Amino acid sequence: MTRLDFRPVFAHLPFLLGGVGVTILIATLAFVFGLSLAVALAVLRFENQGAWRRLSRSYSTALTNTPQLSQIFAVFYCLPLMGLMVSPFLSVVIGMTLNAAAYLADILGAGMARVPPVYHEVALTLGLNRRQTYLRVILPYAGRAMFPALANHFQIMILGSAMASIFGVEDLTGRAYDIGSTTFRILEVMLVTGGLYALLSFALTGVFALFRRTMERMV
Amino acid sequence: MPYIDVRDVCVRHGKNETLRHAGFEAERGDIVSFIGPSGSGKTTFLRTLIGLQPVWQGQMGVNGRIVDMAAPASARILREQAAIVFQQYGLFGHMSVLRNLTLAPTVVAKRSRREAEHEARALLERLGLADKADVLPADLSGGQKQRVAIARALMLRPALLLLDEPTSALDPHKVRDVGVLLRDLAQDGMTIIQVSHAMGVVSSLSDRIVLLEDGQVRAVGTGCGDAAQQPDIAAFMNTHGGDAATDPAGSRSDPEH
Repeated sequence: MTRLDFRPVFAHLPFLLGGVGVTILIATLAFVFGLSLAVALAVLRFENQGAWRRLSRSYSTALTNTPQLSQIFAVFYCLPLMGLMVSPFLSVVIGMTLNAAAYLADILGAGMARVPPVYHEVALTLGLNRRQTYLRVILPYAGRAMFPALANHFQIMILGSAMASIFGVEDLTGRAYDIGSTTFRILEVMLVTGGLYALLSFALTGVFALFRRTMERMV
Repeated sequence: MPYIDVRDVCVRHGKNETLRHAGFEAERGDIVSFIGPSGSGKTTFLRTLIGLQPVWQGQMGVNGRIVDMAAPASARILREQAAIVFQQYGLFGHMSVLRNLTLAPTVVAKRSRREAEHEARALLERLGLADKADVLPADLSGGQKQRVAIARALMLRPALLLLDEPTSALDPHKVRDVGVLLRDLAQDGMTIIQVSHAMGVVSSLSDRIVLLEDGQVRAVGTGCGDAAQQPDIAAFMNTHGGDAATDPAGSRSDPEH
């Protein structure tokens, strides 16, 4: 029986830890851009009854019922066909953004449905225009109400960003594969990598709890 | 010419007319109460005065300025001169009491945040809520929410203050406090229009009482104990529990008691 030997992995630990930054960057960019797109999608379905609403819903249905990996592959191969040469990193960010927007639009939509109807009339009588009503009243209220779900999705995106390694991006998993292929200690490196993902996830839980407390104080 | 002159307001929901040629007049500093059975159009009428309810026809004069209430641009004009306190208060739950008060002055009127906060704190102090400025609405009692909602409306410096059932969720002590506050505001020159089912409050506070039935103004009378002079209003108030003697809101002549 082969004994586990972590020494070759620890020798490459600084290189592996460098991948944590890439992982966080991919997830953060996709989350921020995805949230922006999700706001537009959620407002579209909140404001309209007809075709725009169906379009927004269809988008979410399509992207939440197909594998995220397929979506990233689609972006990775389709954009060059359209003459747009983008790096693997950018393809992954775009693919994850489109996927995140679908889920986040559903979350925000649920949050906006929880906004008391009287708020709309109050905002109107206070003189707020539509943009001010969304920015000052509806989205902050919905965001706070759905904060746990939004934070949870970001954590899922951190873990899901491991798919970037398939496209040659040197995120945490990508670097783990690199180390495994040179040290032939794939089990050990994957155990350490899994531990790093778990640590990252726990740290994010703490950060979100702190952020929420700060947000509640800033009323 | 009366300070407030509302004429010929018609509201239709499909084929139903929920308001039919309704109107009333009020002077500056008057407290006007809309009374009537459920479904008579009281709240609908109140909502037309701030452009929340589309009207088929009607006009409203405020201090000589005539607004065609059926015109598309009328809602904005009506909202410039009026503020409303909703029955459910509608305080924004994700903002502190202070921010609820300063939101419109800073975001809409573009007043400085410092100046708006100064005015808001002074208003909260006047309403006995000085220590509640930094709490969330969820941490307030019903009566406190009511007063914060009134304070938020007052921050708009309206010529006309509209109140939908202002005392419906209050205990008798708070009803009295709100009565005193409304009387003070009226004495400062603000015209107040309220919808109320509390006949004691209506009887003691009102300068004018408008009885609505089936979307029409059935009768207009003077309040503050004189309601009995108008037979229809007296009959309605007697049927619906009007008893100024047991009124917890205090009387007009002596609002402190």
